[in-house]
Amino acid sequence: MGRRVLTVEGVSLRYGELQVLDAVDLIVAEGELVTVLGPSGSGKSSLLRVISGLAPPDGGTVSWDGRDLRRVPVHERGFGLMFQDFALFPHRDVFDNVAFGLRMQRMDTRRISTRVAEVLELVGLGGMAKRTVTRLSGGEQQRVALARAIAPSPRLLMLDEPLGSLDRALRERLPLQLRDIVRTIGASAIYVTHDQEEALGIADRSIILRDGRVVAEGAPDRLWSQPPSEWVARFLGFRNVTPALVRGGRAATLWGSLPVSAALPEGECRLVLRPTAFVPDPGGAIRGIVSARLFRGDHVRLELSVEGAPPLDVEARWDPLPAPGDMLRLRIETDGIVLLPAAG
Amino acid sequence: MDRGVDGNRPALSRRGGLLLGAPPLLFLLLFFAYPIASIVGLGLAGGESQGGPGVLETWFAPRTIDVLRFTLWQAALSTVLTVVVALPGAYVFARYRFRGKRLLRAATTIPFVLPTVVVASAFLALLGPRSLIDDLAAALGAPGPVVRLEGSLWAILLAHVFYLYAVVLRLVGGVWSNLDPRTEEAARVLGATRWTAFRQVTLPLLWPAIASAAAIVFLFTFTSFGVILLLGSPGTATLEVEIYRTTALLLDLPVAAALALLQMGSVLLLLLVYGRLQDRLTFEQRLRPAGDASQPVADRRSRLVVGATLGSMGLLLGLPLVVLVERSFAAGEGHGLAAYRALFEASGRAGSFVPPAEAIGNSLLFAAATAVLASLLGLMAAAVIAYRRGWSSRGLDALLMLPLGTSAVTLGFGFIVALDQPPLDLRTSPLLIPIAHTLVAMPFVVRATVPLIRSIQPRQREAAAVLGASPRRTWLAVDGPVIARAALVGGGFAFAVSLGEFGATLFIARPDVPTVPIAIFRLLGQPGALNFAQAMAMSAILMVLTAAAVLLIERWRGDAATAF
Repeated sequence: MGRRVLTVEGVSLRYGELQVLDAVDLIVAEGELVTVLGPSGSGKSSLLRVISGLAPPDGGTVSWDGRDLRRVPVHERGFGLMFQDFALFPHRDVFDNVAFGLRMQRMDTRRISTRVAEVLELVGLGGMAKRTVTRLSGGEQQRVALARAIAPSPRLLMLDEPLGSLDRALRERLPLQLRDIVRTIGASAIYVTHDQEEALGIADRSIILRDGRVVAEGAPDRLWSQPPSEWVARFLGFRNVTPALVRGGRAATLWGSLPVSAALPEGECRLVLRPTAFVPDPGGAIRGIVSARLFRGDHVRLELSVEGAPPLDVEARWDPLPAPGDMLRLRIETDGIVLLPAAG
Repeated sequence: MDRGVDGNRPALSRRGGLLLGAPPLLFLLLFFAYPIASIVGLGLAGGESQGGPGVLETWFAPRTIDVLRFTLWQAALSTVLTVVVALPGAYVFARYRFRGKRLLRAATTIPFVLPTVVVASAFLALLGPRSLIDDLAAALGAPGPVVRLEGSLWAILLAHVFYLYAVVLRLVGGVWSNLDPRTEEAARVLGATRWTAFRQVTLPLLWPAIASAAAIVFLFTFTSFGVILLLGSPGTATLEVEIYRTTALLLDLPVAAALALLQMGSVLLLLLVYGRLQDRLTFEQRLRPAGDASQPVADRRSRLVVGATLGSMGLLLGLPLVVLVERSFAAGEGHGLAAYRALFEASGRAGSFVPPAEAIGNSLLFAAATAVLASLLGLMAAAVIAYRRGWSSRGLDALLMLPLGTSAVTLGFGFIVALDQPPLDLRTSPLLIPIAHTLVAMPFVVRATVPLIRSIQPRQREAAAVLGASPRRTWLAVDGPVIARAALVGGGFAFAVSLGEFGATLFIARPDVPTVPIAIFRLLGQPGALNFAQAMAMSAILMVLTAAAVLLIERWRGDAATAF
């Protein structure tokens, strides 16, 4: 990790009775892209409002390079914020939207023209400078908003659900482009989203918020392979959570007695069964009937109804793909069984 | 096939539309078009045949130019002042949530619906020769009066701000609460100070709303009559006041007609400019639903802003009314009911030989007649507008709005010119005043009832028909209750308008049958503390009556129609 630039320490925020943020810590290093993940209402956007200075926190500090920002007003922080739904200036054209921050810096007119052209080129909107923003498509508005946020070369770029209102095709393509653009300008960045794939896909590091509290923090692959709690596991999309009793290399679970890795400690615990780790096996311990099938291109997502247990999520890539009504016998690879920490 | 229940057809046949549309149309022709045409005829003919000045001579006379200049000047000042004073209020109502906000918003419209005579009385009570401030100062030993604002431009401006505040608050505040606050925040993050963000982002987005509110305020103040007649001095005459003085004091009808022509032309011009402005200034903006954008009053800065704004709002809108009531009890030594008692006694000294309280009975009678006449004619017109489509609906709608664009003084003057002699001599008819008031009230009745009638879903009629109701039963079950409510609302509006109407009534009221506003005007013209207190008492009564009528209307209207 590079030099830490942004430090958020114990930040709290309340709206009346509602505790929106509760002692949130967050560190961003120079050039790092941190994603903030959480369900709606978890305080993600409020965290960005506190960092940008739009909402003064009720407690805690936000500092940059060791300097407390409490007395620094919004417009002097030099941060960029791209709003959810973009908040473009409807009465100004694309050029004037992007040039706004540069004018606030009192940059001279010629340099503004150059810089705006440069940034529009970067986001793929070259030649659109004179267009009316209200007539642009969602994807184009998103790019204008991004261009407007990065034009003044902010030291920290914050993106609030930047893909929230876009259609699926764009949502798949744009995160990588966004990451590349952020890398190009060399700013540190905080990226807020409720979409796990989006968040874990592009981040150097992620934090997960729940009800205004940080419940997980780490590199995306770590969070994915070792969720720190059942709530995080479920939030990341793992539905196969089971109480288990581990003894002698096997675990008694809701879905049968499964062979487990020797590294698992003996005794009672909670386990996650990864949907990708199931394989067909005529002698497998898991037996069920396919009750639903969701086609996902290169694989199918199955819901397996198992007698006396909750349905099991199974991701099947094998041939032939099972169909609803089929009876399946499966086993699970031992590395697909994840132990959840005790308290959670 | 049944025509009455098909949702895709107009619910009123062409013949029915003609039948229903004819009475209001005839009424307009007789009591609006004819008097206006008479003014035009009289004005253009001028007084030349009798040796008086011609129409152009009147228009370019130094006195007329002075009057026109003052009319424009006070209207411009009032407009700027109202917008500047009401803008913080619009901001607070748009951006903050606080307890009692709904009630307060409703309260701010009270000054707007009060009769101009009551507004003028309230400011006389506050700033005039027998004001509360002077009394208090005298009690403290001040040698002479402290405030001398009556007859000054300031009293007029303050009164205008007082009753037009709600226009700016409603129009600008409504748009403001729909603006996404994040647009301004985006500017802040990009390096704009609070002030720069407001100036460069919010203000341009509010501009269309501010411009239309300003245009409405300008139109109201340009045609202001009662406030200026009662609070102004001979040096402060608007066109309206000048028309009245020329008619009532100089008895020079041709010159008054020439002035009325000038007045109508100016208003027409203003309306045209307003229409153009509206087209030019509206541009596409993505609006968000209201309610979402307001925030609680949480930090110190917000508390300061909200507190100061609401405080000054209360002072401006509340104080005059409170002082008006206080003055009505302050006849002679100490406080008491002397003024109210005197209202019921005839006194030759005050120049009126009937007790002033008789005016209350007259007013209620006229208001009731107006309510019946206006809601009947207004509902006929509203039914045509709401049920029919196409040119007949739009044309009638536009025609009915015409009296709204014509000042009350012009209407009253037109009655004097046109209805005082054969073929239509209504001078002594007790119906003259209800007819005039109906003319003023009908646009309001139509505006208030059309949305109500339009709110009937054709599906409801179809549902009733499918359930087995005959067309007549369907109409009774679905349209009937709505129309009954519309009649109540329309009648209420007409009642309230009639109670407070001053400009037209002043021309046509017979001396022995005054209405409440006329009685107040006369009492204010008499010397003496008791007369003044009586005027205040009468104003307080009128205020209560009007407020009660308006409250009742709001009740009847419910949430169905807020388009007005």
